[in-house]
Amino acid sequence: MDQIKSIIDGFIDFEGQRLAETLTTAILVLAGTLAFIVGYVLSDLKYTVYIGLSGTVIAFLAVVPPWGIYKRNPLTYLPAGGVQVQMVDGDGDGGKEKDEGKKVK
Amino acid sequence: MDALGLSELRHLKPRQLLSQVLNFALILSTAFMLWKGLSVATDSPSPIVVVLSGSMEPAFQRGDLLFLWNRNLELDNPSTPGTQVGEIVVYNVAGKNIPIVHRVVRKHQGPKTPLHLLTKGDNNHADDTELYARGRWYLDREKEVIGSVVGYVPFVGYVTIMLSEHPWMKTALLGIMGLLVIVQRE
Amino acid sequence: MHSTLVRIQNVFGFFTTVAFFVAGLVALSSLLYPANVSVDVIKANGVKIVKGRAHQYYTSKVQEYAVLNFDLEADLSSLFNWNTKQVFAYVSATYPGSKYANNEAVIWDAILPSRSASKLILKNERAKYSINDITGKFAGRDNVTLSFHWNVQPHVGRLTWGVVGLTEGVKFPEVERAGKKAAAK
Repeated sequence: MDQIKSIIDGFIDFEGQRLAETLTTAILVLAGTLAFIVGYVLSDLKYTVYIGLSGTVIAFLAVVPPWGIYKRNPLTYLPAGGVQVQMVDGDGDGGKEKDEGKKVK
Repeated sequence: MDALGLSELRHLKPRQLLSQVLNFALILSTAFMLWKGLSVATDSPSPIVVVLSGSMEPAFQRGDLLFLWNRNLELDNPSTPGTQVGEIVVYNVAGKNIPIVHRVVRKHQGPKTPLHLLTKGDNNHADDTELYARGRWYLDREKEVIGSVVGYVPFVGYVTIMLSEHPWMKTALLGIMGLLVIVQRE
Repeated sequence: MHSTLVRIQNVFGFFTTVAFFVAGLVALSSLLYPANVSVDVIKANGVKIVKGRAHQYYTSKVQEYAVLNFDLEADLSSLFNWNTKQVFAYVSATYPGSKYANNEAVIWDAILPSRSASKLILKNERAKYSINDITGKFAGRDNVTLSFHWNVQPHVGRLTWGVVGLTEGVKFPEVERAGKKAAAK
């Protein structure tokens, strides 16, 4: 179940999301502009449709699957397990370290 | 419950749910308002129609979207107002709720009579007389015509045809959406 | 954009926005091509009135049919641009009457799918449709005129119509009957 979820989820990191968003906008706007100009100059709507649709397919292929480049900046989480928590000395212990064993995300 | 991965269902909050329902209802009513507003502006009960038959090919194919205008277009001839010959009008077959999109081939207008129109599909050999009500050889512009075509967008209406002719697709679509809701991690 | 589903939705949503925008521009570009249709000749040649039956299957009412002959020379090439899907050309006859003051009926039409078919030269062309009047009789109508119309069907956008060319009024003759001259009305 977890594996299926991973595949369907396709999570990517934040830098990757930014890249994906930029790529989507750039590819689709470029495809649209090119489609219109080429069709207008060659006076045939067929080119507009083909260029527009191929540009869209390229956008889908480039952005939807969670490619490796979108995962280059993973978030670094602190290690799970024991954590050294420094307590402020309020009761005269001399800064004794307390072992909390808390998990921090 | 955790083993099945359905633990998220535990976190459903009724107020959040209601808020989402309200959002959905707002979107639906905005869409409805836009539709009715367009209906008033064009004076047509159905200002956007999808082409269902091939009787106007090669101009209109099944699945094309047509924009209607039911106020007179005032084309060509200001001395003979009203719908002109050559306009493409939409009307319902006698008694049935099937809209037909055909071209006007004849018009007869008199001072004391309603505007009579005869229509014919470009791709049909004969005119539409057989589609009219029994004993009627002409359409009454005011009563039977719901608009004249002024704008055209290809293909986009095909989804509605597919959904109405293959009702299993609706259930399939809902099923997939439901599945995705369960399988998604959030 | 964090999950696959969200990315699919975003890309598709933006695609529809771009497609809508491009289609809108294509539709607007039709305005850059003004119509310049010239009709050199349009003339009604001969008219025959014959008797026939309308809608044979459910009425036996005898009607009068008008069969026209006409000449036409027109150049519709200016109507064809990248956003033109087809041009529908038609010739209609307009005539007056008593109960119905103005009547118009299409006697000939053609679908022109491309620029190569856009020059029409018709000589003594017989009307594609012989017309019957709503009252059933034509009897000697005066001032019957022929006009040539066109209708541009775009790939996306607004449909446009135009009329060009109007003949002089002709008179519908009396009913033709084999073997003898027919009486009027």
